[in-house]
Amino acid sequence: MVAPKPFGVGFAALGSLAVALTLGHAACVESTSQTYGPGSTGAEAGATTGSGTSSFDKRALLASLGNLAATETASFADRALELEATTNVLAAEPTAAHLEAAREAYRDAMKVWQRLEVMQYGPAAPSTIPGGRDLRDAIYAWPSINRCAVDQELTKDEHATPEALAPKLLNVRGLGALERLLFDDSSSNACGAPNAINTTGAWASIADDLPARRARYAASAAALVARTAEQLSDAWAPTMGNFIGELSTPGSTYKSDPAKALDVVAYALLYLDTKTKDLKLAVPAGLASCATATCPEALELGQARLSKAAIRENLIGFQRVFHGGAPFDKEALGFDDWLDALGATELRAELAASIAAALAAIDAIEEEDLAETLKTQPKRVEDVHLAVRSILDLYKSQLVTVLDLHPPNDAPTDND
Amino acid sequence: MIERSLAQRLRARLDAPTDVAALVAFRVLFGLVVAAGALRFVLEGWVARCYLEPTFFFKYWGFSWVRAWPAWGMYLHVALVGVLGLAVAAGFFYRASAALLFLAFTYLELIDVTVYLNHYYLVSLLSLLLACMPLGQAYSLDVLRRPDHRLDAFPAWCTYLLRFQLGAVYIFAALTKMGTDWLLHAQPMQLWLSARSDLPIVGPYLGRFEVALAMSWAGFLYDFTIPLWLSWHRTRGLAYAAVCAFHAAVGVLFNIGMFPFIMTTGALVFFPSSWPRMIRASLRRRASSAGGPQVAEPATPSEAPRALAPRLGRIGLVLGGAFVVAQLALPLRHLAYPGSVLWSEQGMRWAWKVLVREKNGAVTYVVRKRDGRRELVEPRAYLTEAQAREMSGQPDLILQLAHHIGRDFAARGEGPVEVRAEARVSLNGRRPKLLVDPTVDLVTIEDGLGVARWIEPEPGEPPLRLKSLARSSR
Repeated sequence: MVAPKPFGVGFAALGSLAVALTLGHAACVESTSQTYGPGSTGAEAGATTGSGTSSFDKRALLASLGNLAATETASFADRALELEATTNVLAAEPTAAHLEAAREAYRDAMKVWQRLEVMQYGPAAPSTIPGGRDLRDAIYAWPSINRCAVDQELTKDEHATPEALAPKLLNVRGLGALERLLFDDSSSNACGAPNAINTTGAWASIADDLPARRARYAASAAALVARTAEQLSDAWAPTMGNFIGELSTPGSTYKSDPAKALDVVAYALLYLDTKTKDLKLAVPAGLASCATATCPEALELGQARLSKAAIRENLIGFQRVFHGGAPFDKEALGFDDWLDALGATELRAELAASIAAALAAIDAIEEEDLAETLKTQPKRVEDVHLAVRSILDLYKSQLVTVLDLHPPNDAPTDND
Repeated sequence: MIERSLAQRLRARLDAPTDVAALVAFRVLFGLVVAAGALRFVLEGWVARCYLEPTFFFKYWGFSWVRAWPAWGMYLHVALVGVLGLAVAAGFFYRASAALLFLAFTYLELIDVTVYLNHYYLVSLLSLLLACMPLGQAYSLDVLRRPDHRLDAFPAWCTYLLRFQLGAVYIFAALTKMGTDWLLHAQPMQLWLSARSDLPIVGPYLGRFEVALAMSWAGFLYDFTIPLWLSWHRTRGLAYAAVCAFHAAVGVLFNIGMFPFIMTTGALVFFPSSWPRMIRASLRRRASSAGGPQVAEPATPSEAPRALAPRLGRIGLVLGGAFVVAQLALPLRHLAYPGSVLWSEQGMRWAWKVLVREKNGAVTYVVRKRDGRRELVEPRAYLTEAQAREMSGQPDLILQLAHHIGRDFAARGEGPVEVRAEARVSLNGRRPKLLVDPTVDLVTIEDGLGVARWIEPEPGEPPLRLKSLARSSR
């Protein structure tokens, strides 16, 4: 991968125009919140095809994908604010109705977040990835979740303010901790009998105050999530951090090379491989690292009963990046347009069909949560795993070859 | 009688004295390139990525005893390679330095197969050859230490052997390109060039099929003929300019590291043995014609050398011959196997199959336990991302990891297990196809020199032909 020379002034000006026009086309995503549309950063449609020769503008693609992430992030930030508001109400008055409202707000926020999980390019990404600022883990550190640690924190009751919670480890805050705090009704804890909170009686002593403590803790955790979500949204917004601009007209972050930025985007999609396929599906289905027939305890978001929704939203996020937006949106520029421009229409169609098949497989599961499916029809979960694997087999073999994609920070050695 | 005469003539030719200048220049440049490469390896963080992060290393046949050192040891080892490169350049304890460089550099290569690169292999071979040559006995710190060891001429076999080695790289690289993918379908060239269609000025042209086809043919013809053009005095200058231009272009377009530097340095061995003196003389003439001080011409090889290297002994001749035969046979060994070497990889390494294929795959191991239960194992459970990517297209590495997985399950008390691999691989942009037979329990397969029947036949269809792609006009 080689950094092209910087474009001249004329190219840069035209590039900005291209970005602006593209955003006008690429903003159609399901969201109730802000959509970055025409004039946000500027663009033109990136792909034109004709007989024999076609043209494709990677910077326009990046602008489209940046816009997608920005729009989803803004949508999540809105929901995080709603979650903060509902948990504040719950903390002030921990009633069942307020708890249900907070839970609903959590579900709404988490569904959007699960789409963003596959869009970990830009500020959400780990700081080891170009452009990354570690913001994702501050919002949701899964699979680094420690339910016992959350219960230990409850006994300390040190979370009256978000500031008090902020210095704590990632696994006792964020959406992971919030799931435990909002969806655990039991009076027991997740720690073993020898744990100090059990041996010292610390847990037993808070039994009466448990709902109130959980509510206060949840309010602080939700406030921190909302703050980070705002930070993330601002980082993307054209009028603020404008990471859309950084992505689509790469500067120092991507060494002025759109290919490097596309590598980052493409490899963020492999969340579907390492997390969705392997951790969310293979382990619970008993296909990997599971000592029993199935391992429902390994399901993500089991307490919130969102394990199925999480996988579905991951697939939708993947689909949106692939298509640049909704699959039916022909204006949105995505990887499918890039493949089309290259003439790899068969691969494009096959990938689109694979994604649709995986979505159909998850939608074929009637139960709301996969824990029930694993009890009654574990084969259904295996089917979803197989369908997701089919996507990734194509993606990791032919797609990365045709588009010449490389892992970010690649080149541990030279390439001959 | 005639045969003896031919042998004598050959010996005389091999032992003929040649000016030391060119080989000294090669020694210095080679040592510096190695030192720079070692420094770069450390600065890029590759010591950690290649040797410290992996928990499993792929081994070469007979070299499973080679182990990575602890972190401090690995950094020390790479630093030692750099220092030895400098020592070779300076001619400081030259023979020992060159021999140690060969051992130290080769050890690094042997730690993990996924680190294999053709130009690393070339560095190993060149350092081995240098260790066998008396190149430290002129213009070196060794000569300053022990002036009585100074040589005024090197035997010609040194130059011939280096020319042979460099020529072999080019010729076998060309032979590898003699396939329909490269010459007819312009793949993987078109895949690589299309990805660079954003480059300014040339970018829009790089996405065109005709350009990819022309560059494929140019690359093939370049590799096939450049040793000839470099050897012929009339074309040498132009050919070397082509070498520089070619490797500069390859260096810019592809992530190929030190290879261009090694090859442009190596190509200098095709020049006359006095080329450095000729350049110096030319520079002096220019300086004097520009009004500078008059300086006497340096000694040239036409003057009788005072000290010659010892003649090549019989053992040396045999070893040199064996080296040549091995270097001719190794790159051709793939002919003993059916199918495409680019797919089966049988005969791929140590054969100068440089940048001839683009291969990516998705591999999942299916482990069947004693109780009949099936467990899926992803390579990343054992490998770094870079290792997994390298392994995905190489059947023998897929086999090695299968054995390791089998041993790992056994060590955890879950063995014996059957291990199968589902590896879907795309070669030069083709639809992914199974690389190894998914019904074969790989634990029962031993790697060897025989034909690997467990490797699936290569795909029958031609590679994907991309549309000519140009960056959209703005």
